[in-house]
Amino acid sequence: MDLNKHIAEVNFKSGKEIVLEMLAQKVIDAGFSVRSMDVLFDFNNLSIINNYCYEFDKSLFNFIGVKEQTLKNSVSIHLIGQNYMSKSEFKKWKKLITNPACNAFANGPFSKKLYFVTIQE
Amino acid sequence: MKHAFFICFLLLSIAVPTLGQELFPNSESASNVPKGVIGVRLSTEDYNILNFSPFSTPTIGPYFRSMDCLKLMYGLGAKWSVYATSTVSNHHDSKLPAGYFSDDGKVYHSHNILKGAYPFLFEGVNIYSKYRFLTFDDNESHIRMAMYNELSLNHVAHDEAEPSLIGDNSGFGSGIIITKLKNKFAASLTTGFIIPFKYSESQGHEFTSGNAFNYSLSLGYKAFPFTYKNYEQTNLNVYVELMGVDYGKATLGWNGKNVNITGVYALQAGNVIDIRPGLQLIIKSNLRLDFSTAYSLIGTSYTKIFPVYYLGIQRYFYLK
Repeated sequence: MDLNKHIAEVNFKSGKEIVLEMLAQKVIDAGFSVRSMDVLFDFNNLSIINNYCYEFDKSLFNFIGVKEQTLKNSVSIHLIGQNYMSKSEFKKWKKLITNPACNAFANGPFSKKLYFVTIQE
Repeated sequence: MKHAFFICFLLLSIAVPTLGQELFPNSESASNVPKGVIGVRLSTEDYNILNFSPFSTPTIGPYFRSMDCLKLMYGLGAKWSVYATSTVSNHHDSKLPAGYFSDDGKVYHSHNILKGAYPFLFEGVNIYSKYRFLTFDDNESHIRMAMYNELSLNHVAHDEAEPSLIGDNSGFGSGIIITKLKNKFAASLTTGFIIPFKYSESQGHEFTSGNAFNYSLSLGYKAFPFTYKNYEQTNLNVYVELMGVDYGKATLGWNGKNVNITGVYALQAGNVIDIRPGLQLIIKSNLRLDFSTAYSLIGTSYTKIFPVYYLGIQRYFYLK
């Protein structure tokens, strides 16, 4: 934790279930706000387009506002949502998350947690 | 195709230590106890009282007055905290003063009284609820607003018009808190009201303090550390608080009839403001030591004699 810049780095144990939503909620429950939340993924040639749905473990990651590209090695994924960014920044993204590709997978008996994400240039 | 997911960076709008300067010793900010966390605060508020009839010079005393509080706090949710505060003090006699209930054959009336040494009594419990309904957080700054409600159940013979829901009166209170934090500086404004309940004794004496409008302006500044290296560093925060109350006159009854309180100073309406400079140490990001001294600024309070010394110690307990 960088106490002056207010940046926390969280390393996860391998094999443990990771629920990003709970991580942000813990910060909010403590009385604070999350300014931004970025997750470092290790990709091996994943081709994405805008509104692409990527399934990982028990989560779905819906890419928003990205151009067609291939992701490889470590890539920082920026989470979009009212619990993961400031209110003013979320307003900019809200209109872009109306018809997510992941919707087809997010509902039903085997529903998974849906996250909207982007890649910051 | 294998994907690993191994690290997460969180940029927080506010880090834990930067909130220190809004932990005001004498008033509440619009922020809350973290969810699921229990807080415990022990505090004492002390002063010396001279025998304090406005008609006479002191002939006995001074008497040491003390109110000691145990406050338990709990974070019900991210935005909702509840407190329970019990108090013990030697502020009150076991019954209302006999001089307040005189009968000259024509009208029931009150006289100014002399106060003496009183026993320590358990006064009662104050239940306080605070809900934060507005949050504008940014990096090292925020504006927050909260609403509070409090209910106090005390059984002591409080005998002044000026009410208080900590220790003195049974009653109800409510208000709004707005807190602004910017870098090392915090300011908080509280406005609210107090409606004291009637206190009755078996011989037909009844006493109700005046309804009141209470207000406070609290300023805080984080003096140390200049930059953070770890959570173990001790914080030093400096505070100045202005605490005010504007109250109506007391109402006294005797066997269902009104008692004339004309000329009795402690029973009249008033407006008092005191100023409370204070210091605070936060040790290892949790153990909090508060010290402040109150001085009269405007008006004459008949409930206490200044300076009033306040000392508090508080700690949070994280259940998991």
